[in-house]
Amino acid sequence: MLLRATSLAVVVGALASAVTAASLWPVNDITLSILDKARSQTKELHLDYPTALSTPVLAQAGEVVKLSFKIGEHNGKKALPHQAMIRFQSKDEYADSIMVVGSVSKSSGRGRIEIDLASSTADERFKYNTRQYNMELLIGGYIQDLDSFKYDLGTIEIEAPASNPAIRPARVAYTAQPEIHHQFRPDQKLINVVVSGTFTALVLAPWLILALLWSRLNIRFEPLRALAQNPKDIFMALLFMVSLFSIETTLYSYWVGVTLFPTLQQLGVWSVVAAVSGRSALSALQKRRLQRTGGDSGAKKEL
Amino acid sequence: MALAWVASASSSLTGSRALVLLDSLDDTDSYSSFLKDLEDRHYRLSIEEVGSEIKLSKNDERNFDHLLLLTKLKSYPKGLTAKGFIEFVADGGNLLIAASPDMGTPLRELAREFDVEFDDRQTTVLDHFHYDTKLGAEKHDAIVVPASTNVLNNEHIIPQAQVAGQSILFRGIAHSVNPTNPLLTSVLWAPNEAYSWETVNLSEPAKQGPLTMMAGKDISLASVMQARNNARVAFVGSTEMLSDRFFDAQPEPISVSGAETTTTTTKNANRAFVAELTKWTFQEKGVVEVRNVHHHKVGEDLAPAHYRIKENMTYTIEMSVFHDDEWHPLIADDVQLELIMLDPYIRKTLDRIDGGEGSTLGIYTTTVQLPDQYGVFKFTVNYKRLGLTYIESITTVGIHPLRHDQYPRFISQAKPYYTSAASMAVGFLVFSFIYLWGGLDSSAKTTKKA
Repeated sequence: MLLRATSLAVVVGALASAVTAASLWPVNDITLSILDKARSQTKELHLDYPTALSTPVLAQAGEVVKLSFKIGEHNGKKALPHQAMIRFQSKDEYADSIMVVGSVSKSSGRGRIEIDLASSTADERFKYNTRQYNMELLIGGYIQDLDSFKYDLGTIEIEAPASNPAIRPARVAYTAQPEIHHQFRPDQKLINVVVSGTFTALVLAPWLILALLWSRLNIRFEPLRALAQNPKDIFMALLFMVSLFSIETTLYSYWVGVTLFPTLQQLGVWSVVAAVSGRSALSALQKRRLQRTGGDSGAKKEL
Repeated sequence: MALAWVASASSSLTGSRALVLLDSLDDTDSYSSFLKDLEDRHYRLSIEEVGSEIKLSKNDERNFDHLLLLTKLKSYPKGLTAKGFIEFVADGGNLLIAASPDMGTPLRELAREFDVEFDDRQTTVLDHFHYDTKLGAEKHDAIVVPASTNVLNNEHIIPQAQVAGQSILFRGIAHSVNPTNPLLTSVLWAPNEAYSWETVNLSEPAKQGPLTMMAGKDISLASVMQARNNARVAFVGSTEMLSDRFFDAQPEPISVSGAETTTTTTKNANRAFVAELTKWTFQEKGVVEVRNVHHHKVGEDLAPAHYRIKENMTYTIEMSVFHDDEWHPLIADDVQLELIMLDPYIRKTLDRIDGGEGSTLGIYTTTVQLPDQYGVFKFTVNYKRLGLTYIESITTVGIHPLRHDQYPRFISQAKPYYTSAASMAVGFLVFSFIYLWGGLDSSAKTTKKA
């Protein structure tokens, strides 16, 4: 039996500290045993306070973990405790603390704490996962001069059932949620610029042929030079070309800017200009052509 | 008159009218320190007996801002049921419930409405390893709970600095809170060796099926709830914890370590703990308000009528938190912006920028590229954290698709087509010019023949 030193009560105010001569709760014959399903003993370990188990004990799913002990006497009477429990402290990140209640016989003082891992009365938390627990035997009660008994028994590994494990209820708490990054649709895939460039060059190729053919035609711009003598004619010819160019520019801007009504206005203006100036320029050309083809004044008069 | 009222207004943002319900008005004396603390914080207390007629509201207006139930509540006050108390909370009133092992069924039912389950009748939290050698010498029921390890570490509810290193004296009933209820949190729990059992037949072992024994950390001694409307409810398993006796007692816990059992003294934290708990419950702290929300395109200052898809947008929200009678900037690193159209498309943590000295605004901002999905989006800051008012700021903004003329006009793929069209146009001009004024002899001859 372990006797303990008197405790030191700190002096509070004017109160003198009471020196108590108390002893530890008498707990003997502590035995941890593992029983299989048929309740036959597979393992038995005797424990000596305050030495803890040196190696972890293993309890398989469906087995029974049993701790038995004997309560001694105090002042000639059975020192029956009110609390006879084992606290299982899980060693994983959840740090579950499971209290298993035992019973003590009033007559014999024999105490036992049992967990039948196969039964539905066993704490659900033993079935979450195979994990290691630290066991602590707690004996306490209401007998004066007896100090509560706390014994660190050591480590036990309790196997969870392989099939149908219990599901741990998750603690729901408000926290920040993972960020979401939007997945933008990828841009439409375009043909290689080399390919489109090649075809662009092909489209421009006829210009080369045209230039080659025209160079053989001996173009001398005689009508243009002839126009130089008459400022009005050259103005009209120029205006005609400008109006054609402007009509095309208007159509281009319509294609790029897509605004219908300004386009219609501009087209209206430029087409009138083109009609008037075109008529003047073409009649000037006709006049010159008729002069050149034999000075046919008769034909001119017919017009 | 008005000035005097303003000066005496409590620091609670809900209001200063508090109703204290007691079993008997004689109990007022045993809570004198607690009630005086409340009066010092400028609460106007109405103290009533449970038996008297209580009207919590009149014409759909609350008569009180806070309700303190320091009673066993064996029966409901006249004209009031659990529904009446719940309506009081639904109207924004704050509630403090202090229970005891001999609490009545109505109080138990009321707590159950808030998902708090008190242990069976006449059970008490017992601890042979942490009882107070003076108050709990007989039944080991007055337990000394170390505040450093058994008080929830949350700066908004009970700041550790107020209670660290001290102990809380508790004698009362255990309760459990539903772990799947995020509105509810335990703020004080029992030591590992404690268990909850009837204090009858103390000389015999406590026997019970292991399923119903509440023990250790699973025993809540005090817990808090913030309803969805931000009304707050606190549960304390011990009315004695608020009493003068427990406020003034010097805790002398027995302490067992191996074979050594010693008695030490620690500082009593009951008064500080209860003060912080009531400050939180009565909305004196942890109250957050959204002051401003801005959003605009990058490079602009004003919010547009709508955005286009894939535009860059800057969002800013300014929030303040109330404590110590003043508004302070809310300081956090986990404020998140969500862009929601049925589902969240983007969720991003906002960056805090310093509002400068003396500013009461916590400014949070971020820039995001809007999704390439058009529709009516909600820019939402859903900031719900333990101990703080739930914030849900929603700005509804339309995101439009590109207009017909906002698509890219020229794509490299179509270059041959553009070139052929341009070539055609230029060709027309050049050909006209050459044909009309180039002076091709052959054309003259042809005309002549015709």
